[in-house]
Amino acid sequence: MQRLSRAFSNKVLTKMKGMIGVMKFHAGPGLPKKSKLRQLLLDVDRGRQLYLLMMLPVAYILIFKYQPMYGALIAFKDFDPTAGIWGSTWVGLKHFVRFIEQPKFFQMVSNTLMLALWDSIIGFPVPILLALALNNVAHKKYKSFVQTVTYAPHFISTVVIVGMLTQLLHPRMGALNLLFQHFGVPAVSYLGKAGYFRPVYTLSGVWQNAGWGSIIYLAALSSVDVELHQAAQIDGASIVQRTRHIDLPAIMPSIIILLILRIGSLMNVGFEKVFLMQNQLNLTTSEVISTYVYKMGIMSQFPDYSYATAIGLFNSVVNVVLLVIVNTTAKKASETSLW
Amino acid sequence: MRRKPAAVVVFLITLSILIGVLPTGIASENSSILNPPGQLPLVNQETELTMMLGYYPFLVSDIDTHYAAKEIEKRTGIKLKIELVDYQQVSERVTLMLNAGDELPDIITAARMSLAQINFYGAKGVFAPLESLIFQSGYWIKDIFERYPDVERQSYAWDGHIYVVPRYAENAINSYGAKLWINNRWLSNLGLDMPATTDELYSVLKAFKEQDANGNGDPTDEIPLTTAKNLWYGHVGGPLMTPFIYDNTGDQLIVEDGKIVPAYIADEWREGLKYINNLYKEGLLDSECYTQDTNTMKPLFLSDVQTAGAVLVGKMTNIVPSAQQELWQDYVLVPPLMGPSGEKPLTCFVPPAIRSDSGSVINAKSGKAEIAFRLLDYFWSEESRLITCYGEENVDWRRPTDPSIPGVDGQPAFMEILHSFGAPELENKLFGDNFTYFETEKFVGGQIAKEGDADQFTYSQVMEKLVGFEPERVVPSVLPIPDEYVEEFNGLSVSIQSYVNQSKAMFVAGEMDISSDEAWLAYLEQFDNYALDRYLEIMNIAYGTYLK
Repeated sequence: MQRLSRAFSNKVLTKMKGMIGVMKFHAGPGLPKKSKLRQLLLDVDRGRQLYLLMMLPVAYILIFKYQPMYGALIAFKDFDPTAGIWGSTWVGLKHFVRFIEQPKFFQMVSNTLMLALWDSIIGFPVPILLALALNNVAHKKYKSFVQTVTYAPHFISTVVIVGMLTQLLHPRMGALNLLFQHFGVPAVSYLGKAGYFRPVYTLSGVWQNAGWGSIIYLAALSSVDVELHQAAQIDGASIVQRTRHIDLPAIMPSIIILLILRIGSLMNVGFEKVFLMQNQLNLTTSEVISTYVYKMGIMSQFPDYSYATAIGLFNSVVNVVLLVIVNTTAKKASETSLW
Repeated sequence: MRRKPAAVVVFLITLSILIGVLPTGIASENSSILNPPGQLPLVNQETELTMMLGYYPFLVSDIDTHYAAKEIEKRTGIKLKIELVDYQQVSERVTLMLNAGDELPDIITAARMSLAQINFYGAKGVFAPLESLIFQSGYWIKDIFERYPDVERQSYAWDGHIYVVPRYAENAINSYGAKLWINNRWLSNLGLDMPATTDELYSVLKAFKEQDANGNGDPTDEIPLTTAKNLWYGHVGGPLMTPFIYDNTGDQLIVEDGKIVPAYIADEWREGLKYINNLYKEGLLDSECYTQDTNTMKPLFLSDVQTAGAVLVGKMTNIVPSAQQELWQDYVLVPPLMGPSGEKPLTCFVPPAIRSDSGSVINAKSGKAEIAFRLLDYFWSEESRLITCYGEENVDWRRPTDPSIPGVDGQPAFMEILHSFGAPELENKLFGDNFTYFETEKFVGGQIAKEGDADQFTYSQVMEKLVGFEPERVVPSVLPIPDEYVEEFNGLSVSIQSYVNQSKAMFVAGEMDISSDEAWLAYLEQFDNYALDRYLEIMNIAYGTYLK
């Protein structure tokens, strides 16, 4: 296999060298450029096995991530399947204007942002705290028990989670309400009040995903040198001080990268869960962009692909802008960033 | 010189593609192989058609041995090459095939496409117009059109063509969909009469709440009136709102002086909301009616002691299993209630209408359109419906042995069911509702009564209590919206309906104060932002076309 790939790349290289020769002949005085190219080709040659390995993922990304972007064109067209993507008529920003002129536009965008912020502000730090706490548990069996218990809910499907929520939060039969009533708190229909939608969504999300989210931090924490802790202990540092000054800085780069990634998909709040938790009474806070797209684009009598695509594109543009802002800020503040 | 062979090859390939694209059927379209309309088999020599069929995976396990598929082939003489596609994915599949420029099969059945979509593609020349075929060589469809002018009228697209052979089912259980069921045993336990007015309903529900209606010694465990979200006709309104103003629980529009107008801006609507809000406030209407799903509500009906007094639902068997008669037999229908105006009570009624979701269309580029049409024509025969939804004669169902035996509707019976839908004997035999058909009332009402059959019970309840109370004129379920408005109309109707339903719920639950004039005016003012006028304008244009 190795021999084969080497033979293959040698062949390619000789061909390319030939091409360079031709270019040299034509390029005349452009010396620095030409040597740069040659340098590159030499690099490629040196790491040809790595390049070969990389070809597959690159092809995957090109085919499955870049090529479909061509379809985003229909956001600017009136898509007609019989005419195809290219053949449909251009309508400019019509669908974007339609979206913005929606009476519910501001409500939807702010609902989406608010839900995402709740989810980030509460949902993001919890796995970090959990990981830091778990890291300090000395009893191995207890630690792995807690870990398993906390990440098990991650594997329950959204439909089941929402079913469990409706059962748990039911004012008459729900375990939670019965428990609260025991302590004198009156029964509340948590799913039927718009004001409770965000807390219920966020906290159930924390319950479901905190354990799973802490795994990556635990992995980062395992690389912390034990000697650092021992030295600090000799100096009389408490657990809190050691966590603050040894563990936290150790996982800071992971935290920042994960934060940036999270902000990059801030607008993509979990469609499924929001949609399933929706009812007529909490729509004022639970109608988000993605559920609206679903209702307009898929569920309606006449699937409006162009409109749905335009809204999706709007969403993605907001995400990209947020990603760039956060990345730049992170770069300046902490020298950790995606690029 | 070296290039030449390549050019020849390219030329040949292009040529062969062009030939492939040309309508291959020009020569094969030959009406002489067709027998006269209405005569079986449909063709006098072997013919093959390709067909894409949206199907329920639980009904078809092997299409090569499937009873209905084989039986249709046998009777019509047409060999079917069926491509099965999960019913939820057919519409998407067709869109993708069109987008990719792939050739469609001769017939597409049960594509789950809306009429608007089919008519859009039809106008683009994707699906063949059928009206001339219907009148020239149709037999079953033509006959039905003559007997059911409404069905013919609904079939036309805005451009005057017919692009789909839809499905049509007369079924009183569905037409009188929104129903209010009450626990008859509780009524007799407390010595109460069946309520006939809104005020009487209020006092009955109040008695349910305050007294020990279920007789278990605990007067507090009764839930007087309940329903759940996503339950079939579990809409809070309908029979509760109609005594004030007619509420069809869907688009909530009414016909007044030949025009379509919204019910939800009328003062009577506000009165109705006040009434329902009062039920909600006093705990007579379950506070969880908007938030609980059917599964959360079920325990009220499944426990040893009944704890639900009344429920808004299309069929009791949407909540409890139809096999457990003891769970549904106590719930009977409340007849339409008289409102404060004292006018004749009305019931919610959705007239039977054509449905395109399991209709059939013909590929306009198929060379065998005429043969394909004959097959669709046959789909509307009684025989085809019996084969595809009830199974084999004398095995799964049979004609009544004695013509004097009455059916559920009291008329002479039409058939006797031997194996009910879902029975293991019917495995890999039927297509059910995912097939094009025309079904009249007698398929349900003409069945010989079977003890403990929940559907038959519901049917006789509807016949007894609701039939005859439908309003004179209702908004048709199918309106030919002109093509140029389809996109706009679709957007408007989705957002307006969602606003109406949301506000209705908020008023009922007291999140918005129905007694405050300010809140009511603010609610009405919002309709300007939703362009209600424009929505009604388009609706009335379509209604005008429909009436013509």
